[in-house]
Amino acid sequence: MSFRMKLPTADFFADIVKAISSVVDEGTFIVDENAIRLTSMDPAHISLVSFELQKSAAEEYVCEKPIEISVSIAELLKFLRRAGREALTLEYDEEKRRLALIFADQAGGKIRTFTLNALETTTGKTPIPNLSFEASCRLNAAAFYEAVSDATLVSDYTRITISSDAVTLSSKGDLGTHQTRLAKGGTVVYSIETEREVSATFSLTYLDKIVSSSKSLSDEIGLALSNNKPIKLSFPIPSGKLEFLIAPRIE
Amino acid sequence: MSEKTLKEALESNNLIILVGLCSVRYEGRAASRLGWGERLVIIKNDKSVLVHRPTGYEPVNWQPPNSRIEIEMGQEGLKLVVRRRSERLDVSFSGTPKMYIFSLSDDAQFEMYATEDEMKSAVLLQPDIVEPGFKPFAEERQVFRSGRIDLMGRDREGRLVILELKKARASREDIIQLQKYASSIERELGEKPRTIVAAPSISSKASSVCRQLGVEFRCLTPRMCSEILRRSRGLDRFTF
Repeated sequence: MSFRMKLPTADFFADIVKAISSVVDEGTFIVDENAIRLTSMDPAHISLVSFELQKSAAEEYVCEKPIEISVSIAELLKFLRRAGREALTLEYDEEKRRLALIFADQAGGKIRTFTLNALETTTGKTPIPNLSFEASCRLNAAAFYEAVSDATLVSDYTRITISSDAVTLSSKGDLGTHQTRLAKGGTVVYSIETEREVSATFSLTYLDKIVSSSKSLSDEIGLALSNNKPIKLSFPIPSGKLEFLIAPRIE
Repeated sequence: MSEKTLKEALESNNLIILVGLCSVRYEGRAASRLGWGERLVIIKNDKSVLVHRPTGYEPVNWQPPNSRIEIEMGQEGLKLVVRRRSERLDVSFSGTPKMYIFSLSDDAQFEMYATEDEMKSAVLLQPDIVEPGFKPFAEERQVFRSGRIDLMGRDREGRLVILELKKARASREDIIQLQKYASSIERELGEKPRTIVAAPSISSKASSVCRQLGVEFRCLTPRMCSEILRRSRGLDRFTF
C-alpha cells in the first residue's frame, strides 16, 4: 500500500469525481505527502479541470512517496455512485497497480470494497494556460446553472459579461434570444470585482456539462473573465479547490 | 413490440428504428406534407429524429437533438409527434411499424483531416512546421500568368521562400508548376526564391525533378495540420 486516504463522507468525493468526469474520461491523480491533485484537459482541449484536495480534508492520509494514479474516471464514478452516508477510504497498491475503494458504514458494521485497475499513464504533463483575469465574481451556483440551462433553449453558445453592477448571460439563436441579468445587490450575486466591463462567448455544451455536474458540490460558484479569453469557473470545496477553464468561442 | 416498450426505450435514450407505411406532416419554419409511403424513421439517443425515404442519402424530414417526442397508439396505427420550439413533425403509421431498439455507445472523436486551405492556415499559425525561422508574409500571391502561390515568406536568413502545399503525394507536375512560379517571381522581383513543396509524401519521379531543379521537400500531413488547427481553437493558444 503506497497511498491511503480516509474521507469522512464518500458522497463528497463522488461529487468531485462527477465534476471531473464532465471534462475527462481518463485522468491521472498525482499524490504526494500534502495533497491529491488532478489537472487534465478534454480531448478537444476546449476545457480543463484542476482539482486539489489537501490532506487536512482527510481523517487519515498516508503517502509514502509521490505517485501517479491513472484511472478511468468513468469507471471510478460508477463505483462512487454507489456511495451512501458512509466513510470512504481510497487505497492504492503501486505494485499491483490497483486502487481500492472501501465504503464503511461504521454504525451498521458494513464494509464494501471495490477495486479498480489503474491504467497506463500515457499522457504527459497537461499544459496550463497562462492567464490573468480582469474581472471576477462570486454567484449563487443554482442561479448561474439556471441561466446556463435557459441559454441552451435558444442557442449553442452564450456571451458572458461581467460589469461592475451585474453578470449577464446573453444568447441568440435562429428563432429567439435569451438574457439573464444577475444584478449586484441581489441575493444571488455575492461579489463582483472589476474595473471595466469584460465579456467572452462560450460553448454551452461545455458550460452546461461542467456546471450541471458540479452544482451539487457547492452553493457558490466563482467566475473569472477577461475579454475573449478563457473563463475560470471555481467551486469552493473544503480544504481544496475545484476549478475549470473553458476556451472562448472564436468570433 | 408494444407501445410500452417503445416509450421505455425513448425514456432510456435508446436508438429506435421504425420501418413502415406512414404519412408525414411538418409545420414550423415552413410547412410540408408527405403522403403515404414506406419509410424508415430513426430516433437517435439525443432525441433527434430523421425520416428517410427508400432512396437518397438525406432525410426527407428531420428534427434536431433535444426534440420532445410523444408516442401514441391511435385507432389507425402508431403516431409519433415530435416538437421543438415552434416546430411540429407528425409521423402517422398505418398499423404498427417494425421496430428495432438499440443501446449504442460511441465516444470516439470525429477527426476530419485538413484541406489544402486549412493546411495553409496551420502553417500561418505555426510557420515553424515548415522550418524554424520561416516567416510567411503573403498568401495566394498572384504570379503573372501561372497562377497563385500558396504562401510566400522569408527564411531565417532573409531569403525569399515560395511554398506549395499539397494534401496528397506531391507529383512531378506539382514540382514543375512550383518551378514556373519561382521563375515568374524571379522575373518580377529580381530575386531568386527558395522553393519548398510541403506534402505528406513525394513520388520518386517528383523527387528526382526536385533534385534537378533545387526544389526542397518537407513532410507535412493534413493530420499534423488538423492537430495544429484543433489546438489553436482551444485552450492551447493560451498556454504560452
